[in-house]
Amino acid sequence: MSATARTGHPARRPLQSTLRGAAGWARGRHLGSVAFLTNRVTGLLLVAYLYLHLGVLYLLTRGSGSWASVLHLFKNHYVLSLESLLILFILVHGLNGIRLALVGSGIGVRHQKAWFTAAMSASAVVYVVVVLAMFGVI
Amino acid sequence: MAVRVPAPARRPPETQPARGGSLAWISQVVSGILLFVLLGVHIVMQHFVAKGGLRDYAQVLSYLSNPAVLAVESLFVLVLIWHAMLGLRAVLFDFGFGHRGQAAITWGVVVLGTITGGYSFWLIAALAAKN
Repeated sequence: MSATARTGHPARRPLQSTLRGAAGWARGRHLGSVAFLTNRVTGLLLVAYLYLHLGVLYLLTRGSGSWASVLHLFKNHYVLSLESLLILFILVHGLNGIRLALVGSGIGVRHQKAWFTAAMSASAVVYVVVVLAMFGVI
Repeated sequence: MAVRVPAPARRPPETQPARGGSLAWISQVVSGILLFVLLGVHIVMQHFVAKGGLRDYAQVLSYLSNPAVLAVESLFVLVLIWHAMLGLRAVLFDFGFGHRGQAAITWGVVVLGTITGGYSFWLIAALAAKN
């Protein structure tokens, strides 16, 4: 008889099993799930940014004074740092999206974890270069 | 002697084209590829070509006075909203709504996409008209 049937409540996951699951995550056993979740989360963040961006662009219709205040705001390093995160989300979502498209089309299915690692590594490298360019270092 | 034949590689469930309909999946892939090019052009032109990383008011209006730029920016907006709405629909479908719920979600993203597209094209037209 199952724990659910005996007690009327779903059986609790033993601590040992939870720890094994966490170790599995660390070993990359669930890398496919992480990649999928990454794509969903970055996609939703980018949709939210789209509406924020469209809202900010409305100030262009109000004249040069309104737009000058936006330009002033975007010179702030904290705002610039947040903007740089947008680049990171675009890179991660875009490169991981290409991986999903290829794997979904049956291309490189066996190597999908390596593709994910490569996509994230490429995102990190391009992100660092873009941030350095944004802050005028290069 | 038995020969062990390796099992064919299976696509993980999260990459199955059937998720949200294969036509929607193909459409998402095609719009994603187009976005890679269009978004790249948009970011480079707006933030890397412009001196100081952003165009001032006069520079924005001057940039939009070029018909080729207007065409590319309009296509970018169209593809971006298409991709975003399909993505939003796929995320909502993940929560496992029934057929009626999924139909309502599809109509919801069509309405939201139409409103967003209408506003975006109005914005482009309003700025182009200032030239």
